[in-house]
Parts: sequence; C-alpha cells; structure tokens
Amino acid sequence: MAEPSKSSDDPDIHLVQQAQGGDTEAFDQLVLKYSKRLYGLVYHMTSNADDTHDLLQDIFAKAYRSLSRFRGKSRFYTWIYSIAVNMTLNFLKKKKRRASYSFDDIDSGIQNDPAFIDISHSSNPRKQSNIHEIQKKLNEAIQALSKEHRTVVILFDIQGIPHAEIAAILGISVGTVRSRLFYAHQQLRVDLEDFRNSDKDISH
Amino acid sequence: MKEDDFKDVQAWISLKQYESPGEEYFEHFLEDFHKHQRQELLQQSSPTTLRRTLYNALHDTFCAVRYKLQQPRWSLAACAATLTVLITGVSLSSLQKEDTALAQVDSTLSSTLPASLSMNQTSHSGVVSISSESSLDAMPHMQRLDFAAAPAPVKVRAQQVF
Repeated sequence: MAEPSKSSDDPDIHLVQQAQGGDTEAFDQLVLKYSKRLYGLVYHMTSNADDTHDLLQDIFAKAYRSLSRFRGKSRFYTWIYSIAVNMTLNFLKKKKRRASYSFDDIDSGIQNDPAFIDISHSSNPRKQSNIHEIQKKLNEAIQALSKEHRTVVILFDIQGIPHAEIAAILGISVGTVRSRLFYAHQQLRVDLEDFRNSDKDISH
Repeated sequence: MKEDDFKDVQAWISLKQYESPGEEYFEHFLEDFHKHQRQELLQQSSPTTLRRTLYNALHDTFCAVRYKLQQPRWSLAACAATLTVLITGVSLSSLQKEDTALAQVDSTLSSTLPASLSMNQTSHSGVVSISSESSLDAMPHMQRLDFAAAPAPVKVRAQQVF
C-alpha cells in the first residue's frame, strides 16, 4: 500500500484545522476548492448529472460531519477523495442507474485540446467526428468496465492523478492500481477498436 | 498490448475532462450545499429519519469495510450480527442497572423521609399504619393485630370433626 503523505505536506492542513475548530468559512473554502474535481469523479462514475449533484452534496455533508475524525495521517485531498469514491460505489451498488449523458455540459475548452483537434480535423467530411459521437462512444466503453476498473481509469486517465495517490485513495497497492489500469486499457482498446479502425480507414 | 498503442485511446479518454458544467454551477454549489445542510438538520429530529440515517450509516460502514478488506459478505455479516447482539446486550444490561439504581433511590428516599411521615412498622404488629402526630390519625377501621401474643386455641366442637 502506498505510504500516506504527512500532514506537513498537506496544503489544506490550515483550512482543515480551522474548520475542525468550528470555522465554517474554512470548510466553505475546501468545498469551493474540491467541488469541481469531485464533480468530475462522480459524474464519470455515474454518467448522470442529477445523481452527481445529489451525491456531491452528500459527499461534502459527510466530510463535514466526519471532519473531527480526520487525523492528518493522509492529505485532506486523499481523504475526501476516498469518501467520494466509497459513497459513489455504494450508490452504484444500491441503484442500477440508467446513464444519461449531459452533452450540453461540455466545456468550450475542448475546442483547443490537441486530441480533439486531431480527431475532428479532416478535409474529408466523412472523417469529421461529431463531439457527441466521440463522447457517447467513450462513455459506453467506460461504463462497460467494472466499477473498480472504471474508478482507476477516471482517476488516472481523466483526472491525471498519479498511481501512488490513487493507491492511497483506494487503499490498495500501487501494483494493484497498475494492473487494474492495464486491464482496463486493454478492454477500452477492444471496445474502441471499431471506432479507431473506421477513423483510420477514412483517413487513408 | 503495448501502452504506446493505447496512447490515442488515452487521448480520447482525457477529453472527458471537458464534460463539466459551467463555472456558474460551481458558484451556486456552495449556496446549495448550505441549503442541503440546513435541510439535513431539520430532518435529523424525525425518528424515521434517525432510523434511516442509522441504517445508511451502518450499511455504508459495512460496504466500506468490505471494499477495503475484500472479504466475502458472509464474514462481515457475521461480524455485524455479533456486534448488534453485543450492543443489544449492553443496552439491556444498562437498562437493568438503571432499574436497580431507581429501586435503590426509592429505598433511599423512603429511609430519609421525615419521622412524622414515616411508615411505622412495629416488630410485633402485623399491620402497617401510617401515623402522623400532626395530621394523620390511624384509620379507625384498621385493627392492630398483636402477633406477639400466643394464638388463641381453636376450639373445635365435637360434632364438627369428620
């Protein structure tokens, strides 16, 4: 298992201590800081914006209630991510949700992303991939993964969290993180093979 | 499969980071969170909600522990059942102790009552009467029996013997 980070390295430790002392504004600062990142995590796990909104409220509520038990043995960031992952997994186990993709909520920044430019650019109109089509295909492929594999893909491939931190969040070894990622990548490659092949065929 | 072969797929997956609501959503999120907390506080007083909260807390703990330990359900269910029995046992024994304590308090109170209002019980009488020098007179219909005296012999008439 990955070594937990010391509280002295934790950039949030002062806010956490103030919040533990009863400073609600300090906790508000933590909410503002982590709401976007946790939204991404929960949304990609559930693929449902309404569920994400409700879950996010519950996650921060639970974090607030449990804050007194946070001892600083790990970073606050790792701790709150653990809460978010556990609550989301519990939610997914309780309910079989129909995924509803919210394509309207796509940040305009995607237009400048090199990967998107590479995918969507072509002189051949047949190759012009609609952003919705790409996202739909990706979502289907990711949702097809098991919850455990989906979690590591989201944390690593989407949120860019290093292996060691993922291991700390999930309470597993770095080796387990790597092996789950490897398996998940294999699955995704197979699921997206047709899409990749049609993409290559058109370009030639 | 080489990881290099996955690079293009990985690039596509990274595009999912753009699936996010606008800044406005997050600006209002804190306000919504405060409303959620207030709502929670109001609901916490309801017994039904308390039961539901307790169930959810136990279930969340169970799932979190199982997820962490990767143990089969039956082993954790057995632990949970054992824990429940222990908690129930402790609760019942604490209730019994309360009852005992209450009984002790009662007896303590009765022994510390003022003499004028005490329950008088003589060693030789079979009737307990509440006597008060000031206001409570022994009820006239209560007959004081004296067990100290030898019982009167029972006279049985000859014709009553069968």
